[in-house]
Amino acid sequence: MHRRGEPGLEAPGATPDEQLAERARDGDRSAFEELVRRHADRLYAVILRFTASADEAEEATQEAFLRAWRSIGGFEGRSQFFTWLYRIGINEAKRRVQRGSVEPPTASVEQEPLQELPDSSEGPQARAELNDLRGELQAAVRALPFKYRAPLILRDVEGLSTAQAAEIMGLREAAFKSRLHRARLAVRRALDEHYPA
Amino acid sequence: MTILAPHKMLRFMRDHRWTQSHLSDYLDAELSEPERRRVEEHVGMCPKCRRVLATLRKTLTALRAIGSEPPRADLADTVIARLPER
Repeated sequence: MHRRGEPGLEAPGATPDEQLAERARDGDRSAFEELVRRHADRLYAVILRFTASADEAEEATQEAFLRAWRSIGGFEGRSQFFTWLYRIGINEAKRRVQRGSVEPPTASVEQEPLQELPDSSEGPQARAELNDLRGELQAAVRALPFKYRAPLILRDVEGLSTAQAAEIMGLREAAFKSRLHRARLAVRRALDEHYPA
Repeated sequence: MTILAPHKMLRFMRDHRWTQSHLSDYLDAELSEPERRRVEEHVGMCPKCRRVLATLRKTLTALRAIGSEPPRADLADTVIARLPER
């Protein structure tokens, strides 16, 4: 499966995001509109992994771009535009989660001794199990507290690098990797409940 | 079952704890060469860590294969229409 990786990679010859952001900072609305067109769908998809509904994700995406537009003067180009934008989007998602929209039961991410899951051999049965696994996986990810869900989604679902994802979260890489590891182990433990002992 | 000498048992347990906390880094290829070898040597001796690594790897594979919902129609246009003039 192709990893999603860095969003908004421009077509050859296209104006880089950072140049568009600079023009937008200088008041060029059409430049910001081009940035919206490049990033809206992907940012929406990320935010949707946190919100209770597609409508809420759309509202949050709109709000994120509004905030970005109002604060584009503060984008100094020290980071990539998309990490700056996604940070705004993640913070908007976090606000909505904390505001008390449907929050599923949270999974424990406290350090526990590593447990074992039944192993399965490769082949058609393993692939069928993998398909069944996806439903449980999505539920397990949604059950994570925000501070652990976000690193997992950015790194493992969206395919961003550790550096990019840590920057979006506003964390040092060591702290980010610690949260990511605990999130991965928690999801793995959650899957254990669906396997026979 | 192999009974380890006390000093080897201490080393094994130290490597066990260290490996547990570095499995993600290993799967992300973010360990130095000596660290990577340390994980692999311990996993070679520890059935528990070997299986945890295998199932963690499967978990990551499944996470990376989670699909996305289709985008909202005309989302970019909707966002642009709401942008205020500066």
